[in-house]
Amino acid sequence: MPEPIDDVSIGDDERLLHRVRPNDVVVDAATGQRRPSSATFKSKSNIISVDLASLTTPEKALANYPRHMLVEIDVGTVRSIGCKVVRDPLLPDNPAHALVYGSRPDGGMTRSQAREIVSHCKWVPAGDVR
Amino acid sequence: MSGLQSSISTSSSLGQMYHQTHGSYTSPQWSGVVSVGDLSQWQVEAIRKLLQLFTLPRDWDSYGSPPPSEVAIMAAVRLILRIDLEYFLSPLVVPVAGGGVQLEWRHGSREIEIEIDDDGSAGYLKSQHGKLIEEEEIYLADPARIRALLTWLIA
Repeated sequence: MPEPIDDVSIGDDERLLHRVRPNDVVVDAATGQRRPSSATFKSKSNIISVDLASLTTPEKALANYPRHMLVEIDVGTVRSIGCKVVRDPLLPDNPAHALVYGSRPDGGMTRSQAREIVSHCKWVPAGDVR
Repeated sequence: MSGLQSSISTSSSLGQMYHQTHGSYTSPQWSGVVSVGDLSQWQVEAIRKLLQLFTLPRDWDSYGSPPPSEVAIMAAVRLILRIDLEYFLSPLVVPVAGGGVQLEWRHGSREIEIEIDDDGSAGYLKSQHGKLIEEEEIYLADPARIRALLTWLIA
């Protein structure tokens, strides 16, 4: 696949929203806090989908998935572990849609990148742990 | 749940037990039988969780992923069956987008994740206090390697 180009028009302070199934929450061994499993940010055949928080709301992100929860992570952290962020608006329904590429040859995240990301995720209140 | 536990103690096969306790289970992908006669309780619990993955629909992750493949689920089941540790921790079982499965164990500050892709290939990540220690591919039919990996967790 062509090398994805990190979109510098997306600032480091932008927040990325990602839905998480309630079943895929674990207790972190280091912090004792609940966080998504790293599997949430892994994919064999898909790049990881996110929404740019500045272009949507938590309510919109969860509109069709009321049973899911929502986490956020800032773009600067994602970039600091070697990932790239690319806009991928799905018009007209979701102009906030974007993709996160990892450093695997197929564009996916490595296990350590996925693990690093979930350790920095924060729960978004509208989709808080229930 | 109590019905499930009592079934495990009396049933000779987890596959049959699963059908008995989940009337709506109609997976077109798998209808086999896993013998549980000589298994430890943690293994029975792990396999039960793995077989439940057959009920996941397409788009289970809300991002359009297919459900875990039969190859991935059964590779995970075989992995569990090969572990000859009577007293161990039942792993968290998590689907991975694209058709994979992940098994996660944590004990104290130590964590192990084994990720099985839709084609049955696998890799693991070992961490302690949240810090990465090791990340490699792994051959699931290598019991000595798997045993060494898992006993690190409780050493």
